[in-house]
Amino acid sequence: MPSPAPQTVRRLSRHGVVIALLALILFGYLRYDNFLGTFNVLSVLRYNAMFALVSLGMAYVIMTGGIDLSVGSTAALGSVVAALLSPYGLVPGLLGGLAAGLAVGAVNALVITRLNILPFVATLATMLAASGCALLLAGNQSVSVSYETGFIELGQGDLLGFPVPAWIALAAFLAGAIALNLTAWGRTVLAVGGNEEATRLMGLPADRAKASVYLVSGALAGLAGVILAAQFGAGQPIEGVGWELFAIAAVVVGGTLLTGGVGSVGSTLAGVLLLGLIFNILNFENGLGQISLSAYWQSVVRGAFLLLVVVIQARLAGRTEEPA
Amino acid sequence: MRAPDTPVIVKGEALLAVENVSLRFGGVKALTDVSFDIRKGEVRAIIGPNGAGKTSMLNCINGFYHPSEGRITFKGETRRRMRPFEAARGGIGRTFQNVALFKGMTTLDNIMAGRFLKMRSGFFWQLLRYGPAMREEVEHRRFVEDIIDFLQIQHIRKTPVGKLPYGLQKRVELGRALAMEPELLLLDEPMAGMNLEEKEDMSRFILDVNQQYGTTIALIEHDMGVVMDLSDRVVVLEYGRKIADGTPEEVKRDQRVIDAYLGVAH
Repeated sequence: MPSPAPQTVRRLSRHGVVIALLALILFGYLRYDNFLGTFNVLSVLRYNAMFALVSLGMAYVIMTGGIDLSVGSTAALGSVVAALLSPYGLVPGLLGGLAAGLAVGAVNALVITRLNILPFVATLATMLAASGCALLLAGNQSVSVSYETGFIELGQGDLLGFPVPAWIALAAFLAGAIALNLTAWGRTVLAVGGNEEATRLMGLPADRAKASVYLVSGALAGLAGVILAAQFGAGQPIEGVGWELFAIAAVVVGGTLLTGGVGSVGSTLAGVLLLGLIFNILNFENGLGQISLSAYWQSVVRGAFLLLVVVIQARLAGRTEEPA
Repeated sequence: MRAPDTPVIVKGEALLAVENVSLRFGGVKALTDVSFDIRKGEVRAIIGPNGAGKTSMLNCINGFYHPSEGRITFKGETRRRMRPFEAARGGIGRTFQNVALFKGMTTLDNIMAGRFLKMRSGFFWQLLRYGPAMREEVEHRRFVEDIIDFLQIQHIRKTPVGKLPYGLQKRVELGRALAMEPELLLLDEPMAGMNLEEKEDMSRFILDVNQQYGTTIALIEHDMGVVMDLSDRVVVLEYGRKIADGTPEEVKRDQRVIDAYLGVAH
């Protein structure tokens, strides 16, 4: 039996992302005025809500050992459909975006579980197809939303002093955490990622679990699209490029293994906030006027920081693992 | 361990009957015309040298392979082609030669996974954690905790199983199979790769399962000593054919078994 690793190290590895997040917040608080001011905090939450939704869906997919590359263009499609339906009201816009996302998710689910196509390939194809659909529906330009029906409240509104998109994301994560940890569905999702063969042999519905995560991911991406349209006042057929990479990064930084079978909803949220805050801090840094980082340099810095967190996390996790 | 003179458990009628089963992979014959039965409440061992077709036989029983010829009857029902999940739902539980646990999940969650098939409440009730769903969850949880106590693995309840030593992983896998409340439990080399102490522990658990839960057990094992102590009856396979069938004592005296198996040093 291996000697048990020190408790503190084990805890660090599990909560590495939370610690990095707290360190970043402390850094920002000490260095910039108004970093923790209401305006900045609420803007960060409002803007990152859509990324949070997409990342939640991605987390489930990755936990089954799959990947969903189509979330970015699904969000774009969702935003276009929502914008087109927004003149009919808030609810039609919301449901339209959700339905568009579910449709893409359903195609992913069927192709992956029925035709046994690798998730990477299947969702690469739907990524292209969904993007094409978005451009077709929008006529190759952004579609402005109706400002009369209250639809924009979904992106720009506040409820009890808190941004509506952040409420939506918060509710999704709460339900998502309970679903993962306390329902048979959530445990089956992890079981499929851990050992698909054994899951099948035990008689558990492996295919249904796999199909469901792509449906959830699609629906959440569609919802993110609705918020995108409401927040920026237009359905954006060319938005969403690279969202899938942001989501994958947030999930991985949150400690979910790309090989599946291990994962946490809470840490995924921390991962989203971490990535969002790096962006926010770079903006503040530019605002100080001492240095001026172009958007390109911001990407480089983000990437480097991301790598750093992942490497530290892998080191910590490695130390608690028994040598194979 | 059961002493040789302890009376054997009262055995019921056949729970499972294997009749003239043959299994071919292309030109390779894995099993040829094998017949035997497993009676209710007994511990039945399937032994044989490497490559004798033991695991193939188990795979046929739980529907992972479909016999090329012959038939398998479980609880009086003969199925032409049974699939693994049908076997699981029908009451055939199983562990694997290479541990097949969900490595990222804790011991508790792994064993809990064995209860999912028994859960009746829907996803949304489970999500709301309300009413019947909650009561059901508590019931299943209690059942799982009983198994954990029974297997003496309380101290690793919350440990991800990937971090456990091999012997304990095997025990967790047994727990997961037990959680399904199988009528017939198939154990594929439950003691492979274990040290002597772990083997003795595992033997004790297998006997306790058989006696306390009344589970019928079919096990494949390489370690002859263990098998002789554990089982009520033994089937011996060699090159995919049955060469002997009977009590451990009868089998031990059989000249063909001695030639095929016991005579060979391991």
